[in-house]
Amino acid sequence: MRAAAVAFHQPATVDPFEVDGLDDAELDELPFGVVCLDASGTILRYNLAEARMARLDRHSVIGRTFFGEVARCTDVPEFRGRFDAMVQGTTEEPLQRFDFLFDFKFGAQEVEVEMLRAPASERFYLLVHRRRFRSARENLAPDFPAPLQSELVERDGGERGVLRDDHEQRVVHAPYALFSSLLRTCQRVAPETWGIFCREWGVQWGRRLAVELEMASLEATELSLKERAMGEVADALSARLRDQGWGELSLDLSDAPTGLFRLELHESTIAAAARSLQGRACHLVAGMLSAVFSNLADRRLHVEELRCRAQGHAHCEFVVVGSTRKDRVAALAEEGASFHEVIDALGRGR
Amino acid sequence: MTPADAPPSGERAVRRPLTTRERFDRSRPAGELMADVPWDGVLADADRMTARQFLATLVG
Repeated sequence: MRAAAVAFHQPATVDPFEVDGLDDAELDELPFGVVCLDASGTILRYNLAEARMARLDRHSVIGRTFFGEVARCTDVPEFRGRFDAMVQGTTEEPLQRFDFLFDFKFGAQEVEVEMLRAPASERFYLLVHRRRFRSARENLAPDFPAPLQSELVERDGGERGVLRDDHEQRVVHAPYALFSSLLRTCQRVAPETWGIFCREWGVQWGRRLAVELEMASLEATELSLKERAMGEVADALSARLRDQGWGELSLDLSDAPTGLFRLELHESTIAAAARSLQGRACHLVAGMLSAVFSNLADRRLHVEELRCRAQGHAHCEFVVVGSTRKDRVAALAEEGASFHEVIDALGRGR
Repeated sequence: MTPADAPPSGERAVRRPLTTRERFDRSRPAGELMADVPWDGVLADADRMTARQFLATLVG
């Protein structure tokens, strides 16, 4: 029941006082930074958005002191003073909101901070909303800005065998045949679960990708991705997938007035790895796209693969619909319906 | 360290995003979004409409 409840969780509407009740995966879906501290200022939890914007790996910061090691620029009365007052109970306010400037060595970030004590616990939360990105301030003491990831791990003896991307997230380079191995394993152990497993895997991936894209958009344009033009968003999503080697995604919006639209994925990595399946293979991609579009729309959308390169088609083809059409579209896809047959079956016109 | 300074002149103004509390207060059930989205050319819409607006036009 827990997984079902989370599947289309819409974190943008979370009550700040309910953040403590979210698990780590749910925290990672939030479109703003979250840092959880104990009364001494030690970091207990650190979500994906904060890690992305601070360019730090959470595993390197959890257990460290926020004010002394990870965000030394906050060790000032305007920030630390508020935290100490909240810990000591000398302030009546259950939630404090204030503007602040985070100094990093790669730049400065104007933020709005919401600081609160979790109900009935000794945990404290910082909810960090990025407002504006600026170049790094000059003439600061060397230790004043937050440390770089490389500086943090240097103190621990470095990282052998660890690859990181430009934002210090850990990545792995592996041959795409890894997916062929996964498919063969699934076919041997539990063949009926491939589609369900990969779709849910894709949804989990898509929720994180949505946060990643949102953070990249804020950093580049200071606008939320969902508030940017649909064409720009399509380009950003396609570029991300292309850069990561998943294939070339294009959005065909020409049938959107019928209430749905079509996606094409050329050179799908998953389809290439799953040729032996001889059926629709890109459930992972469909799940991922469902989560990304649902996040952008603030409501449930469903992406279904209609044609797959693993079936011998030139490319993979997907349809995007509202969630109440999910079962109908899934049944049509199972029957091998084309995109225009789906339009006809669902009824033309709005 | 000081609280956020005033932005330098010439820096872009930013539409203030909602805080978590404001988002929560303004949250509403799905399905109430964009009931009357104007349609006069899909390609123009893709450039003019935000992603949230565009995706709200999907049926279902």
